Amino acid sequence: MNTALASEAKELADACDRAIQRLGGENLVVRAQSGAEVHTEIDRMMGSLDLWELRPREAELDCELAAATCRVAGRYALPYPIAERLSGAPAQGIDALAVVSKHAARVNLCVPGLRWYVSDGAESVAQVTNVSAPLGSKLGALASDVEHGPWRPGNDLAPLALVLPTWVLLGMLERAFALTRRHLLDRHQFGRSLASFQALQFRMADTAAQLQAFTELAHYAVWSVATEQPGQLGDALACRLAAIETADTVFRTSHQMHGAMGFCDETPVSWLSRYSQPIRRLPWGFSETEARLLRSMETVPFAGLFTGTDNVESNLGQ
Amino acid sequence: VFLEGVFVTEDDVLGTVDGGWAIIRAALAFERVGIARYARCDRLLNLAPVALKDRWDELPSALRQRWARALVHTRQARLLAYRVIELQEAAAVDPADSAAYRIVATQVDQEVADVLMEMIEHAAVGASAPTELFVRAVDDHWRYAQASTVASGSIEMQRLLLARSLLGKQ
Repeated sequence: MNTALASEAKELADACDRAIQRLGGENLVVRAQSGAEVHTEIDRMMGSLDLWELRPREAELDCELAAATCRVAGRYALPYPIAERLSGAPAQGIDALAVVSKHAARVNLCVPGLRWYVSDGAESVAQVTNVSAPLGSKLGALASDVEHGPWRPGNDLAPLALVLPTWVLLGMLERAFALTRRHLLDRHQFGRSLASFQALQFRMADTAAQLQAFTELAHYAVWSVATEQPGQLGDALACRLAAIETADTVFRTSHQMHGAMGFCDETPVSWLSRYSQPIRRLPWGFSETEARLLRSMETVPFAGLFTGTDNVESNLGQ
Repeated sequence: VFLEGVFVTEDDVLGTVDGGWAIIRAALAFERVGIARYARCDRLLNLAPVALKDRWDELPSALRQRWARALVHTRQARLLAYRVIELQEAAAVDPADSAAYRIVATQVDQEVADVLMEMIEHAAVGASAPTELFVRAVDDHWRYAQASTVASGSIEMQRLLLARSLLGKQ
């Protein structure tokens, strides 16, 4: 098991980062929130990078490239359904796939012009038949309620559609953490830099450790899905669980360290924090994700050093 | 033990005088990563449903969900250990990498111990019968885990190391 991303992933990520910056970087989400249809220019830019030629469901390398691209998009809270598109299955007529709750199908960044499908996060998918106008709410400005046709079997489509959004979130968290670190070094209070206060140093250390642990797990999940491990659904749910948990920590730390400034839209942290909400809340929050993970683990053992352990005496006896 | 005023010949000086911190940093990065605390956590968590048999399904679902979460955290600690070892092999390891691993791994140790102690219920305060292997193993793990954030470099020292790498010397 080698979970490090291929070198091509870094090259593509760098190219993608430059292209997003040329389009305006974090200004794109500002424009999208005020109603501008930025998705067409983002679509064109991504097409010029050959992103729509990627087949993450068919090639292991493409899966890594997809993850790396989602991570870059997260840095800018890019108002485009990059994870959902790269989770699609073009061979089956699915341009974009989002996991939704069966009780209420709500899709983040549900841009027009694509053959959208939704997944129940398990074994079924359904075609989207109608998309409502974006909610325009504080925490889900660009999310839409959708109607869909009947559920049909969509075996193994869910894991990738669960993992790629966590990579968008990873990009958001890394950016928020980097901005917070910079703020601690730049900002002075009581005649000292914020970074010199041990209480804040310790909090940053704990946050960094958790972020690193999530990063490793996100790599593991990509490997598991790309190589179609038997426990890939559980691995994807585990990744989502850690993503939500880590996002809570990183944004709590970022807001606390930024103080009042972090709640103002003059700081990128405010945008990242707000636009991370739909990814963290949809299709399900922490507890439902954890309940599904438990069910998954009780069905297919969670891979570890001692999976398949079935005899206490032979394991613990002398 | 503190020794003061000891004469040291030039041959006995490691590196340059007043350059000790760099050597300590390099040494710390290679220290103690080898204790695979997560391995014992992994084994005991996997044994729990087997050892508890029918009782497993009667446990509060909140407790079983904590067990699931603990398995995820255990996997995270293991992956961080692999990362540190990979960096060590490439001679690119920083003490901050080992520190992050230790902050995560030592706390996973305690989290797993607490989950398992709740799972063995009343036996948590009565693990003495030699035949009850699982209960005794959990009890042993819990007592050992109490010191995990203290022993071989307290968690506060690890936080200092990691913070210094993140924010520089303040």
